[in-house]
Amino acid sequence: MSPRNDDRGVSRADLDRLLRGEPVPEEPALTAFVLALKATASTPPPPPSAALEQVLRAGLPVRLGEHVPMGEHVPMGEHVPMGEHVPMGEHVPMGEHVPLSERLTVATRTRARRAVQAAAGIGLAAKITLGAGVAMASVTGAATIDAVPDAIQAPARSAVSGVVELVTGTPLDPLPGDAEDASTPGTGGTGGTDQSTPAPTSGSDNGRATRSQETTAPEHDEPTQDQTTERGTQGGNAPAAPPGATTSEEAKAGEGQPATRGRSEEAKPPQAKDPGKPAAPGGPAPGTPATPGKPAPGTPATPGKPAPGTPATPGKPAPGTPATPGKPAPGTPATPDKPAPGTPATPSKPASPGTAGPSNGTDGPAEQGASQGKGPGNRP
Amino acid sequence: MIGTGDAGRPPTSGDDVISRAQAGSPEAFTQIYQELAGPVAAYVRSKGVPDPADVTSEVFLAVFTGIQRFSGTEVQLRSWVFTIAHRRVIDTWRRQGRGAGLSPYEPEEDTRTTPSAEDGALGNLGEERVHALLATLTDEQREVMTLRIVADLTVEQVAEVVGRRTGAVKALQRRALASLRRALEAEGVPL
Repeated sequence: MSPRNDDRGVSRADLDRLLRGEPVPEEPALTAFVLALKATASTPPPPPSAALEQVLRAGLPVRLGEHVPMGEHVPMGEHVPMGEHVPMGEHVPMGEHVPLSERLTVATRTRARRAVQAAAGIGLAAKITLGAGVAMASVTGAATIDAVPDAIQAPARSAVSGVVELVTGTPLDPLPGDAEDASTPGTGGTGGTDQSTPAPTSGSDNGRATRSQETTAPEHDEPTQDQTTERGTQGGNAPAAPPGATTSEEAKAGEGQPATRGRSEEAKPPQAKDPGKPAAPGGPAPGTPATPGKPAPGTPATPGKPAPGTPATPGKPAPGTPATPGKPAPGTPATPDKPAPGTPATPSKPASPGTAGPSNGTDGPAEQGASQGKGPGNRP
Repeated sequence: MIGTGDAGRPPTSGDDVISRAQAGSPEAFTQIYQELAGPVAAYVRSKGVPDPADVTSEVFLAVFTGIQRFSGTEVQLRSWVFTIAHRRVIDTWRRQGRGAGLSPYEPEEDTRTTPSAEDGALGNLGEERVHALLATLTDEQREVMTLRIVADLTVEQVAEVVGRRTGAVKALQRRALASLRRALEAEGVPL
């Protein structure tokens, strides 16, 4: 049937009149139909549903964050939690108050649900990438955050160190466990490189103590002899660098032991040169630079066994304590038989590794350090 | 009447009904419902929805919950309400997985008695018969005729609701009227 046939006999004017519901004498049948169809709209509407009746009676429930005009009636107790969708046909019961904590819980739950849905909606490759990223961030965070217990931090740090060294070729900070192993005198020389860098020298506790002491050190403008000595005896920090002396020079000079952190390049050559050269009981020759395998003369004793002459008391340097790095021990270790008067090693502040103080050269710890012969950055 | 399609018919309620409804006034909701519920229900029934009462309620709940986003005049409000009804009907049929339940009218299968000449006066066509006649139209024609006559929308408004051009709507209504006239003549309704 063509449109021309469809339009047969229905003029445009009649069509408009018909559709408006006006009677058209030329089209009685169509007029009757249109009137009957229009009459269907005049029938009473069906009864509203319960939800619609509630809306018609009390208005819409007020949502959080929406502006309520002044003077408008807000039905009591009609609260809809933020972000919560009220399905059609449902309404919040009258007088039911939703506490704030529950609303926050609902909001948190909604966000978590959306996050899960978003994660579920991504592709497989994106999921793998996301999981790997989360795992990497977790391990890195566990390795770097001090608040993490050592039992967790040590393996995490080991993993991160391995990955970093594998990727960049640059080793990372020593493991706390390694530092703990190397906390014996003559091995743990860490200081001198950068005081702002945490130097895990002898376990985490000592390392933290060192850091806390370092933070207090810069109060003075010029490091005095006392201060340098103090630094040299605390936590293996190298003495204050003299003008022109670099930290690497300190390390190479053997003053205060490798002035690097961990497995730095400066600390390795002495190990390589004298890997198995034990420090003979009785100590090396005076003036021998303290290598990791060869503790310097006057290597302090362990906390429980302070060596005589160990410059342990801050502010009272032991004679012969190499106060100025860059000056290699010129064969002038402190006289072994001349300990610092009145300067017993305080057990509460043990002489930390890396102390380049003189020793009598007969200490067991020196031998221990020689036997270990490793810097603090050794790997397990 | 809210937003009738007739330009010459002055609206009986002002724009404040819309503003009060947007403020959440129950009285404004009731006024809108009373004026538009009948046409909306008739439109929903003409589409053959199984439960027109529920669908009508859903339409007005959607209207009232979304009226804050509406901006326009009363005429546009009427068109907007029927747009929601149109989409709600489509959603209803999609949920049920089938199309409109109207079957083509077969005069031979109609067992009802033919009204007498006295009873066949104008306007005596019952709603069921009207719907049976509507079933002879195509979906597009039925949609246009219902929106034009029941919803009392203009050609432009119908075009906006169904998403067609006005020329297409005019062509559809012409063909629909021609088809209805043929069906009425074949049925032999005394006029």
